[in-house]
Amino acid sequence: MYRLKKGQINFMVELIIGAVLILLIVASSYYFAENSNIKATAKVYAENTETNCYTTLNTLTQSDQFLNGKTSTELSDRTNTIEKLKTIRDKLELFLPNSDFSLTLFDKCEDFRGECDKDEESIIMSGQERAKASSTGFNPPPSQSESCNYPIPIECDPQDYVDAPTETQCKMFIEMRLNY
Amino acid sequence: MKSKRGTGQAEMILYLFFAVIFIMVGILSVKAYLLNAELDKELHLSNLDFGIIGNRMIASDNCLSARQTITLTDGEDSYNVNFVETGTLIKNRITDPIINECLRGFDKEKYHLTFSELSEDGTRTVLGNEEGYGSLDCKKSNRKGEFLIGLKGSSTRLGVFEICID
Repeated sequence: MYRLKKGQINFMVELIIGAVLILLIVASSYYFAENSNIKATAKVYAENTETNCYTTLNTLTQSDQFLNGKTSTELSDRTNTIEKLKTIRDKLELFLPNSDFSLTLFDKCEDFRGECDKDEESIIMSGQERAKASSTGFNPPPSQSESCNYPIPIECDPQDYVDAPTETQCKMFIEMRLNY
Repeated sequence: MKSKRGTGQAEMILYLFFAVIFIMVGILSVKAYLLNAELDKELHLSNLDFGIIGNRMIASDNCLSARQTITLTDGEDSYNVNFVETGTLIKNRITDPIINECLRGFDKEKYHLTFSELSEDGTRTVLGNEEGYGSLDCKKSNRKGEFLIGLKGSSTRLGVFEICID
């Protein structure tokens, strides 16, 4: 029979002890894994597509039932903006009594797909008043609201808008926020 | 020389043996972890149903929306391009057969829809089914909305589309 030398015996013993230790570690991890109890709760919220806001604002701006002509055309002359906005607000409250909303007119819109101006610096002014009108139940606005914007072409000198991006040149914007 | 090669082979077999054992135990312990994992799902999909049913009604010319055809000419050739007028409905299409066909596949107890024509003073005249479509009680609804819509064939060309989703 082949006899192992001293060095070889040491090597084999180290190897077996090492293997047993690692096996112990792995076996204990298996044991604790068996006893573990993982619980996770996943909350999935579908995103609001803001269709309600876009459809309502689009219909409103193209209708001739709010002002003496098509709403977007009437607003584009930039005269009596606050009075016009209040007239639109009153009519819309009459047509949609269960909806709370606000309407704002902007000179510029930095974020067309989001909020035009969080600091409200771009809101069109008429005298000392900002061109903004809200339905009775809208103030203060709740967290659950949709927001959408509609660009209204205006007559202007393009030179005044050289710094603005092409898509926002010579336009004013009407923003709607609609609670849901 | 022969015996040295034999020792090397024995070592290799031992290494492989333990390697296989470790990998198997590793896989089994991962499996054991996963077997004990419980995942509770809370799905809030009312916005999704709201969007799908809403768009079927007001953004599809297969259902109620108006369609606009624009003819483009390129030399002697002309092309017709169809556009769906999203948010503009044809009054005559608001009938039970068309709407029921458009709502096929949705559970009637999970939605309620009504279509109305608007007069200048805000008075609403219900179009289609007087009771609306679907049997959900809107007071118990998770998501509701009323859309101001264009209505072709009406004197004010305005209407309201109301929708409630469970």
